[in-house]
Amino acid sequence: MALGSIIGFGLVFVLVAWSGSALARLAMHLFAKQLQRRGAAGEKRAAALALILPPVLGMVVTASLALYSAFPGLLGGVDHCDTHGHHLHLCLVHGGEWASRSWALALVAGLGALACVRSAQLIEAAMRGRRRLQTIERSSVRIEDGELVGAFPVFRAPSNRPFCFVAGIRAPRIFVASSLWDNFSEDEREAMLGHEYGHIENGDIWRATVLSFFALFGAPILALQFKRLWSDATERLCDRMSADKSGDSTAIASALVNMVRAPRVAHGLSFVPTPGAVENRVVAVLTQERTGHSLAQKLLHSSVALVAIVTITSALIADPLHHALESLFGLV
Amino acid sequence: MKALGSLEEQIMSILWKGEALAVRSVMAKLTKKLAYTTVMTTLDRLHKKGLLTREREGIAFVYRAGLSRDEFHRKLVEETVGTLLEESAASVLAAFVDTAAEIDEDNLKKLEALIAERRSRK
Repeated sequence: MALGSIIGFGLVFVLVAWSGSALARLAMHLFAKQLQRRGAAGEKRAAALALILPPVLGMVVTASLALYSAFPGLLGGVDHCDTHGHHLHLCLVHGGEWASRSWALALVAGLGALACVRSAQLIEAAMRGRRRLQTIERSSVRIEDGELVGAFPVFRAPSNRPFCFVAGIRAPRIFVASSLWDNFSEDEREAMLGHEYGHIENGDIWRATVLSFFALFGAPILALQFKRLWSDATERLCDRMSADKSGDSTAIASALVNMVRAPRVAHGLSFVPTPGAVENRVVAVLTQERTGHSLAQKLLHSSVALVAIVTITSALIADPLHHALESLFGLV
Repeated sequence: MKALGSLEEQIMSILWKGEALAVRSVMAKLTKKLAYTTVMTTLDRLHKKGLLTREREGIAFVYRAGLSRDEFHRKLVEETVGTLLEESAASVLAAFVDTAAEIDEDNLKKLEALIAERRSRK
């Protein structure tokens, strides 16, 4: 196998994955209002698919072309490398010359290195996060309020900084700042915990981990946007679930407002919250009663169908497709 | 602020009882017998971390807790949560509200009015 051919196929992957991300972003922009009307579960699924599908399709197309180049007879083709010689070949056997194209080498090697660095950072952040959670847990007191606390442990952490979060994939735990726990009404506490239980029920922690992995391979800025859209929709869905459980949407709305109102402790957080995210959540939980689960289901089925269609099509048209891509890359 | 190591925690537990103690007095209260220099170094490190204050009495230092146990844990949690959210950890946690979220007062009042209006309908 010619090692340089990895660069050629790397370009195919980037082309398909990034243009897929751009199309997905356009679709999400065009259908933003319809998605919002249908409920948060639909929005959440749409954002997740927009993030996951482009790299998956990139992988499918790249794999089809790579297999075709290695076993042309398998898909009914001929040895394409005999039929033309005017530009570099997308071919596992004869693609070694890609290594001499400096722009292609720089692009693929740069993106590959970036993905490796980012994945190492993600792993390191997860490990550091685990240690920090142990530190917080050691300083906290487990709440044993049978009526409020469900199947998962809830910890009251001494803090004037307002926070409430769920952490842990295998053993989820909820951490609540003492300043919130002590000052919230019982309805607000129940609503806040109901929201966190929603995250656990939906498996949001492991899903976020999977999305972070796929974000490494999508178009850089767009992948982050999809992740943020997913995150916002996730929060709104958990608000809705909490409201449905307690039968009172005002409790969760009030908890959200009071949390934002709580006095801040300056810590220089570097990330920027989505403008209006909390306002949107309060308005959504008070006015939007649909969850959008049926749309989420339809989107999932459509995506599976899309992957199947692209897999079959790219296998069937591997010959003209690889010629077209060779010509396209030959123009650069 | 970092979490305390095992020996640091034992020493802080002794000093959090409120007494001002010299190195030898701390050594005497520890369950495990340790070298003078080990205890002195740990006390010095805790002093540098800002957890202990010290005064010279004769030729030795006398150490006293600079932060109460509750204050220490509160600061530790606040700083750790800050870093956790900053580094985040999207893969580690899902926060109820982005703790950096800011809303102006007018919008907050509008939201509260909306909540009150919904409650009055019940």
